[in-house]
This record gives sequence, C-alpha cells and structure tokens, in this order.
Amino acid sequence: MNIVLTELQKETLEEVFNIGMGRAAAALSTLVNEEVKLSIPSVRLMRRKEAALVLGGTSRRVCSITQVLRGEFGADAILIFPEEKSLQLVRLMLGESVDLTFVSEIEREALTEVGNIILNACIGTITNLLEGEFSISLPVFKQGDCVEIMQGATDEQEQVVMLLHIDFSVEKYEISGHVAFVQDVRSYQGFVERIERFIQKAMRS
Amino acid sequence: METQEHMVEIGPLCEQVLVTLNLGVIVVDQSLRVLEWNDWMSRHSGIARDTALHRPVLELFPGLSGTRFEAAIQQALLLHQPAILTGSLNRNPLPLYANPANKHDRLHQAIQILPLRHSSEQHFCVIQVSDVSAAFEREAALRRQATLLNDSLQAQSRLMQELEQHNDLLDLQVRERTAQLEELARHLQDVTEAEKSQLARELHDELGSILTAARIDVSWSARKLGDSVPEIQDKLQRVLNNLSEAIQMKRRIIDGMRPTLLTQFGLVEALEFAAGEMADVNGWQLGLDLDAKAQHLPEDISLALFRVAQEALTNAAKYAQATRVDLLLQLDPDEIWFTVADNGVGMTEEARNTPRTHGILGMRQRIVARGGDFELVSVPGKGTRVEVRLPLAAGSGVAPTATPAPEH
Repeated sequence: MNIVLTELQKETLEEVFNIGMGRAAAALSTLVNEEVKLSIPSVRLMRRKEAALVLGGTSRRVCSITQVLRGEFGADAILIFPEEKSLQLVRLMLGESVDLTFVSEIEREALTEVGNIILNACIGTITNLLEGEFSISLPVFKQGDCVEIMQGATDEQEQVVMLLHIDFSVEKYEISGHVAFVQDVRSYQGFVERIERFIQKAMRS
Repeated sequence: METQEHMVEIGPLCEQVLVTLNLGVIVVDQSLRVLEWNDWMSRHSGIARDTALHRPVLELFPGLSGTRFEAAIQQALLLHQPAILTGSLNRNPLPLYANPANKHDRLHQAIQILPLRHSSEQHFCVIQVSDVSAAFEREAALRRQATLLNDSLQAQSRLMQELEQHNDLLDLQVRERTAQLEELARHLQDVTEAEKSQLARELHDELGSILTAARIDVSWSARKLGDSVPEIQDKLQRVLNNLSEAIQMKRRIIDGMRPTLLTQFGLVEALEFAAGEMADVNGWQLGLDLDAKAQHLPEDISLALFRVAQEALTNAAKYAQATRVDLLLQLDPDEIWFTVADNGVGMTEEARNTPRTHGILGMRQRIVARGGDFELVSVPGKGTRVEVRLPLAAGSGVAPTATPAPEH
C-alpha cells in the first residue's frame, strides 16, 4: 500500500495544523505569562517501526503525552519531547530554581497539561477535518525510549504514523519535538479520502 | 419498564455517591449553568448546593472569566476535548479552601474538565477537582531538602578544594624547609669538619711542638741533674711521664678530629684497618669487599663514608651482639654503593626512633647532604644493614692515575 501524501495534501495539512498551533500557543502564553510560539514545519507519513527509528530508537530518552482518539477514525496522538529538554522547559515555565535529577510529580503534571493543550489543538484540527463523532481520552504521561513509547496496545507493525515535526519556543528557549498520530491502515484510508474531500470543498468555495 | 425500575434504583445511589466522593464535582450544560454541585464543592467553596444550582458557573466564580478554565469548558462542550488544569501552571484557579470561613489556605488543585455527551444535541461538561495539597507539601519539602543538600554538597566541595590547596601549600613549605635544613646541616658539617681539621693542624703544629720542646728540655734537665737531688729527679720524671701522656692524648684527639688513617692511607685501607681493629676487639668474623678504586675518592666523600662506617661499626659493637660483620664498597662510573651489615639482634622500629639514634640521624644527614640515599634496614633477630648510595660528580676522578697521592 502506498502511504505517500501528494504535495497538495501535505501543504493543506501543514496549514490547518499551524492554525491549530496558533490557538494552542495563545493558550500557553496566557498560562505562563510569556510569549510561547508553536509551529509545525513538516508533516510526514511512515510505518510505525520506521517512525520509532526516526524519533531516535532505543538510544534516546523521551517524555511523552498520549491521548487516544476513538470514533469513525481511531488514532493514538503522542507528543514526544527529548527528556532533558522537556525538563528544562517545564522548569522554565514553573520558574523553579532547583534542578532535581528526576521529573517531580508537579513537573510531570505541568508537562502533561502543556501536552494536553498542544494535543487538543492537533486533535481539534483532525476532528474538524473529519467532521465525525469522536471520544477523546485524558492525557497520559510516560517516560522511556522512543520504541517503548511508540509501542501501542497492539503489536501491529503495519500501522501508519502521521508524524508532525513541532517547534516550541518560550522566551529565548527552543525545543523541538514531534506529534505522532498512530492509526491503523483502515483509518488511514478514510483519513486520506477526507483530506481530499476537504481540499475539493475548499477549492470550490 | 425494566429500565425505569433501574433508573429508580440508580438515581438515589448516584446522588449518594456524589455526596460521599472525596473530590469536587460540578456538571454544567451548554450555557455553562450548574446542573450538579456536590457536597465536597459546598464544603470547600462556601457556596451551598442550592445556591449554586442553575446559576452560570462564571457567576459563582467571577474571577475565572476569560481564563483557561473557561476556555477548557468551552472546548469540552464544543469540541468534546478533555482537559487537565494543574495547580502549578494555573495557580490554583478555583477559590477553594480547607475552611472557607477563613480564606487562608487555598487548596492546591488538580482539575479535570471532561466532555459528557447525552445526545448529539445536548452536551454537558463535568468539572472534577481534587485536593493535591498533601502532594504539593510533600514536594515542597523534597525541594527544600534538595536545595539544602545541594548547598551543603557545594559547601563541602568548596571546603575540600580549600583543604587541598592548603595541603599543597603546606607540602611545598615542608619541601622548601626540608631543603633549607639539609643545606644548613651540610654546611654545619662542612664547617665542623673544617674547624676540626684546622684545630687538628694547630694542635699538631703548635701544641705538638710546645709539648715536644718541653719534653726535650725537661729530659735534658733531668739528665743534667743526675742523682744529685733525687726529690727533684722524681718530680722531673713525673713531668716527663705527664708530658708523654699529653702527647699521646694530643695524638688521639687529632685522630678523632681528622682521622690520620684516612689522611695517611686513603679510604680503603682506613676502612680495612678500622674494621679490623673493631673485629679483633669484638670477636667478629669480618667480611670485606672493598673496591680498590675507592682509595682515591674526593676527600669529603671519603670522610663521609668513613664516618658512616665508624658510626655503624660502633653501633654494631654496642648493641648488635653480632658474630659477623660485612663491609661492601662498590664503585660505578657515577655512583658509589656502600653497605655495612651485621648478623646481630637487629632493631625494632621503636628502637630506631629512640634518642640514641642521633648517630643514625648523623649518618643519614651526611649522605643526604651530598645528594645520596641512606637506608637503615633492621629486623629484630635478623641483623642490621646500613645501605648508602652516593652520586659521584662528573670528573670526581676515581681513576688512580688522575688523582694525587694521599697525604702523608
């Protein structure tokens, strides 16, 4: 099965995701009283195994926040940041001076909320595109290597991953991470059809 | 019918559950009006359930208009997205207290805002509030401890650094002082040896000639006097004897100051003679292995080695109860190795540090001052060995042809 997006599909997705990111950035800015910038410079499609390697495989420790999307279209939305960077980021946001060597409970919760805001923006974009009925789970925080994090409930390597690169900056601090939508092939096919329909609609209007 | 019965049973049960829950529950409809306000909320907000019901939630909490709290509720109602609001990022948004009567301790809150879909038209939102004050306190305590620990670790490492620097400084000072003391000791020994030498010459030249002249004169007088006055003759004989003794004593003193053996015969023969004499007196079996080239060593080195040998042999005679003593003297082009070993009772570590060890210190000083190594190896029951290594300055001339004949 071919899992390549056309240039037009890719550009459309990047644009609608960036609109969502603008809203998330505004929400985060109010929250931390600092200007927060969020952007999605690229959207790519790939197999799950490949995505785990692209994200750094087993060699890289990451923090992740996952929300599960169920309905006509099902996907796990996973936000992934390098562990060390996410710690620095959340400490900056909380204004803490003590550098503990581990993620404390409060830091973990703050990170989960930040992830929740970003993921809700991404999920909102998708559900807006797909116009269906969905249920969305609460965010769950996890630490580990990329392979562990990408390991879903099922061990189906055929799953398709839509990988959004995400750039995040607060004050002068910059962090770069990813949002992965892990979906099964059936969902993926419906997803591409919906994008096509959205594009056709947009072009007509 | 069955469903209705079920509803009847579940309804009151749900109410009871809401009353008992140890977390706050608020349910709002699409116009943000309160449909449920549980007991916990009343207890911690000071707003009774009856007051709260059917009023817009932002009227109850006016400070929350336009905040993330409101945005999250709208998101849940319109987009069906759940949200979490942490106390740390949102600075505990709801005015909830352990005791609302005195608004002192605002609860640390963890809030979850969850969409609730009744039908495709009717949407609700559940706001769930937990009190995380205990966890917050725990973490604050942990953070304080971590800060303290960090501070004390830093202080400790600073202290360690200072100590190390101080130690290095002390080390340097000790090395400097030791070098100065060694230099001083060497100087003092050289001066002492020079003075002894000078004194010995004066004793020999001046006192020696005076004593000899006096003895010649007294001897002449005694001969002239003959037996005429026996009392005077007796006195003169006593004077003669005393003068002889004085001359002998002068010789012994000169010998001690500037070993005649050494000046007259050179190191190897002086060592052979001195050791031989001591062996005779003490009944030692003597082992000598002395390099003949050492006969012509520079005077200061010969003297240093001879003094070491004298001291080592004296110690052996006094304390060792040995039956055999060995002297070994070897020459390399640039080094001298000298060993005096006995097979006596040996010394304990303690004994080596007692006051009588001035002698040992003296030996060590002589050698170290000339840039050499001195070692005293002694094991109780296994004898004592004095080991010396002395560097030979280039051109110190140990080749027999290049050195002047020893003084006679």
